[in-house]
Amino acid sequence: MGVMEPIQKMLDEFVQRGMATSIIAATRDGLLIASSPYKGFKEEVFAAMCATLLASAETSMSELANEEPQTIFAKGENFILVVIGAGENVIIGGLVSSESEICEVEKLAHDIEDIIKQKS
Amino acid sequence: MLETGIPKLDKLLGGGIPRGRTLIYYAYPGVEGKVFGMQTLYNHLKKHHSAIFLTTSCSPTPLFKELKEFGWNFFAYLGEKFRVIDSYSPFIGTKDELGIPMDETEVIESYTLHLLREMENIGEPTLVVVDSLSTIMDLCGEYETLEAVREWNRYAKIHEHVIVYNFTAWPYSEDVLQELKENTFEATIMIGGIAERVIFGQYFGLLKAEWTPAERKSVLFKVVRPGGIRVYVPKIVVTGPHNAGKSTFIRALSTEAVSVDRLGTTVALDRGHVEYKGLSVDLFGTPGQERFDPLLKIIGGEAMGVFLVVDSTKSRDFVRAKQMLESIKAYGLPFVVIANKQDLPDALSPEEIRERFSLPRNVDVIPTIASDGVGVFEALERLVDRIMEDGINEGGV
Amino acid sequence: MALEGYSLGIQRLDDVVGPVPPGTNILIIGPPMSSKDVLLMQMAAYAFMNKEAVIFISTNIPGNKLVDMLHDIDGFDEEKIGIVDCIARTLGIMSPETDLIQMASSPVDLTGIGVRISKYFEDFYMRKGIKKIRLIMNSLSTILMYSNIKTVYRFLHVFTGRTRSADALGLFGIESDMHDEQTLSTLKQLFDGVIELKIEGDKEYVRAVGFTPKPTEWVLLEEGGGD
Repeated sequence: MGVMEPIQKMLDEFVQRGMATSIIAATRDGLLIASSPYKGFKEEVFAAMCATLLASAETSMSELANEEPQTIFAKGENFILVVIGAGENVIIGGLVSSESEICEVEKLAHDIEDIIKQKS
Repeated sequence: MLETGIPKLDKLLGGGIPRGRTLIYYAYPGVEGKVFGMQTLYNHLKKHHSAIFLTTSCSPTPLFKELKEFGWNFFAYLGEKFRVIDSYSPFIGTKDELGIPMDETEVIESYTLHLLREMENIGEPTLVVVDSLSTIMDLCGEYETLEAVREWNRYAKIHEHVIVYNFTAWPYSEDVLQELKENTFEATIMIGGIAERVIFGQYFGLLKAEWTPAERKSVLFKVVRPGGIRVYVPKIVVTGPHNAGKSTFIRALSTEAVSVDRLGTTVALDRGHVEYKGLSVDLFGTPGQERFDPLLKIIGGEAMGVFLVVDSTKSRDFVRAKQMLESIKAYGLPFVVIANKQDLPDALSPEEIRERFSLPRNVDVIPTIASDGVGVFEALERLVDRIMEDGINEGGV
Repeated sequence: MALEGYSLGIQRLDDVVGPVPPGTNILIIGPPMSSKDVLLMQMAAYAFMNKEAVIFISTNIPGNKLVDMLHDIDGFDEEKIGIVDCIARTLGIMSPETDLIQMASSPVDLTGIGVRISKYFEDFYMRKGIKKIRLIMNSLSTILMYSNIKTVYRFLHVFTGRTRSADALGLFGIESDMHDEQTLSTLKQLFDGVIELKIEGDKEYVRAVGFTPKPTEWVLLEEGGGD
């Protein structure tokens, strides 16, 4: 079994548990690896935009503070957009509805990072 | 030195306008030339100097009310030291208590009489702002006005006044325009529009100033309220399909460049800055893959020109290249096609690329090897020329 | 990239003239009391319906009144209309300029009118990406009251040119009885075609000159000008 399927499964479970409205995993250059739900939003574009967000924040922060951001979040009136790195090559982007859920996405990112390490 | 109140322009003028000299703001129709004269006037009043203002196309009260939007309160300075000659109100048959009404507005001697009288009355070297010379020419005739202006300028020189004229270069006689531009004033500031199909940017530049060597330099500006003339650095977008060499192209041109890339591909944008022939330019590179297309509109916003970079060996990408040009709404902007990677064995020639692209003759296709910096400055030169020259032609009508 | 032509939006005229190519400038001449202004409003209404942008240069109705008149037309969209109000300031109306209404100092202030036209062209064409733009001036006669023919000619020379290069449609109204024949024939040189109105008895007729090899027949303009 490759790395894609377990990631897909984890994302599906995550959404089923009500932890996020939408969630994607993508490469750092914004290529979609897996997403849940599969339909209803343009996940390729969402993945690319998440990569843009994280990379832009990394560039700015490393210039200013000489460190890397761990979590990016953008707060709207009802939702929060979260982007987190999951290891060297992968990012997780999600739309959640409360701040407590940000931690859940962070945990998910950790788990996914572990899976990738095991498989490689 | 009398400052114009536009710092960049004062710098070009070597500090400002010396006493006894005259200057024309020579603006093409459709660009905001009027603000220049008004900003110079206000800047001068603000320092509690005296001034004379001749208004020909608006009554002083509504004009000064309108100028409050710029944060300029002309009302505060009215009095003995700030005299307003109003030829407009009598012309349309209304009264405005702020100005000195001037009648016989279609007789040039009337302007001469009023201007010389006020210059004499004010009793010290002062600033005279005329807004605008074109209205006077419209009412009194081109040659008659030109003749009179020479007299006003002579008078100013003797008495050490500075006269600043606002002028809109409507299609008057060629010889009159030439005289105004070259021979009538000690300094000429050109104010033009950058146009492709419509005017979408404005610039000013020093054509000449007899007291200082003119640097051929064009500066882009916007008019902001409040504030007035604000100089800004133009943005040029570098776009093109994935892996065409956009980031390399930007690095080759720039004195400083930042690239937000991951796994060898640009994911957010590239940014570079280049100083070239008196013009500062900011370069913004877009990512190439379709999944980043929502960024294109944002990065492409307010661009003055576009480089479309293509890999000369990959003709299958040309459709995508054209689509990207559309995406950033670049249609209508001047653009130059960069035929990059000319060092590769199967690279198509610029002419072949033009053909495959079905590009019209007037679009430049410039061969480059961005990785070695070959051709990149030629490309920049072509694009900057196109941006500026379109603007300059605009006025020719 | 070629744009399709513009229909005028007056059935009677479109039938005989057909869509006019982008970049066309038309002079609309009519006696006082004719439906000149009604036609211009209908041409604006047609633009709204077709999602074209409209730059309306008003020399005889203040901008806010014009908005009231245009507001109820189907397809009216504030994003797609720009009004250059040339008279509010002279009437002492000092309300600030908005995206919808820009104010020139006076009908004499051709420089100011020109700046505002250019701004709208930029706004529609570059920022909003609307490539079909209709430039309407409701009366050149007002401009001609304050400026001589030479001056107006120079102004129009520039702005009919801008209409052409922007692939827009220029529609300029003028009163037939207020100007001498020479003034009218001087101005006509700047236009690609002329739409003439005449009133005979209690009936009003219209014809188009310059679009077809010969002027079209005079046709009866129905109540309200068209459909």
